[in-house]
Amino acid sequence: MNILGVEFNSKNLNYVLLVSEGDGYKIAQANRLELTETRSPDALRAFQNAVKTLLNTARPDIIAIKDKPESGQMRAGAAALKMEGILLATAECEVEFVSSKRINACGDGEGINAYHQPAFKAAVAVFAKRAR
Amino acid sequence: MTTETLPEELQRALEDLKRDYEAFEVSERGANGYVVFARNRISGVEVAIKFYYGAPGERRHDEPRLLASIRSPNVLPIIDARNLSEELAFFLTPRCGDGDLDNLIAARPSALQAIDLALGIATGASAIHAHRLIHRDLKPANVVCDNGVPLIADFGSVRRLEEGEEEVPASGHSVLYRPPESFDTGRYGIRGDVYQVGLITYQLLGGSLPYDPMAYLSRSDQREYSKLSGDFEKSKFVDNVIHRLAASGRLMDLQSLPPWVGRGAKAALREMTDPDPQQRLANMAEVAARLTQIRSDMRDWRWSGDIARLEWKDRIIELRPLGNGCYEPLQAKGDTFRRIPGMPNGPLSELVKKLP
Repeated sequence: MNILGVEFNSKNLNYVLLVSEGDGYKIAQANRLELTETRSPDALRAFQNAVKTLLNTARPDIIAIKDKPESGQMRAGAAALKMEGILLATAECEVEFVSSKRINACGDGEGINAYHQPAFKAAVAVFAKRAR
Repeated sequence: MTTETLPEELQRALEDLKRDYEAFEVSERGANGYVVFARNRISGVEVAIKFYYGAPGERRHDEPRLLASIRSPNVLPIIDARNLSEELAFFLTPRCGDGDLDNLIAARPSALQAIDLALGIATGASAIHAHRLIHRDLKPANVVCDNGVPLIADFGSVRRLEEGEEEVPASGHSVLYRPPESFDTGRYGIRGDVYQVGLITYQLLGGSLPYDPMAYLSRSDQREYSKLSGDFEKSKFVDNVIHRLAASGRLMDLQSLPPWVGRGAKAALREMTDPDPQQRLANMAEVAARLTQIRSDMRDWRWSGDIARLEWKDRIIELRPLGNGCYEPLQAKGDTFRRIPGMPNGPLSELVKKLP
């Protein structure tokens, strides 16, 4: 099973691909896509192409997204919401939102950048739930 | 080139097609077979008809079958395919109005257009890879464009990765785009396609990659070359020179890129085309990620003749050549251009650095 963990942070879509191996998993890919211009149709189309490329390459069975509120003080920014919309509209697999509480219950991943940890943990949280 | 110049059996085939199609026009660019453009009499849709020869056998219709198996907005779709005889067949695709990527490169796309085209190509290549296929011959002539959207075409070199395999035999096509490892090992993997997309991205951004192989010969190479007599020997010699340049990472001349292609973009180009495949970006997702990062850092400069022009937010800036290696920085004010206050004339690279 391939689980693509995703976290939106400012103008970045951070992702980590976990591939299950027996009872465990390995990190197959970790990277980030950027979207700076949120009101440029060309920039949004380019970002959508990058998302398609990611999904074609990663072939996820499930996408685990770190949940961010759409309203309130802790709400996601415009770029994050647009990136999330593009990812949801492009994905052909199941998508699960993972709460901060579940993310915080997971340990850090080794050998990845600090900014990839939330995406990694989102993927691990979904992996643990499925493995139960 | 008119249809009368085609082989007789192709002319007969076109005669049959006249019931449904009109306005036949032979393409000058059909490298592996013949390509004829036509217009459907009912729908008015413009199509490209590709004729191909092949001995009867399982792999004879590989190209149309592979094209039909991949559905991606960045892979040329197939409309129809027909057998004409045991050795001759054809398939139809839409005719793409913008021609191939060489046309677009010649028109010098803006910096962001270049990145967006490269991203489209990476998307198409990733769709091919998702089917465990490798293109092996990605180059501007094999990417057509329709309304600015790049579509990967020419599946004549595509090979399927066998179960458990990560490489296929290398293609002998297009020596300029051959990744260095394929010269050494005769093998080719997904990272070979990454290398080719890297070279295309470099060209789209304005990098020089001459199609005349003699342009790659140094003076000493030229002296050695002049001593050779046979065509085969000469061709092999030039191939070796190109291999040597590719293997040492000197095929691209990063100095030939316009000054708005910054350090980050140059680093990304090197990562896509690293001579060592293990050091190269591993797949199209990594290419796409780097391209989005470059896009975020880049302003949309373009050439307008010999003037460098930037439209950014509500400003239009032009850097106009003065003929002495220096450029004059101007910005639009109403219908005219005026000097940018506090900015003296200077070399293009310095002015581009100072501007937003």
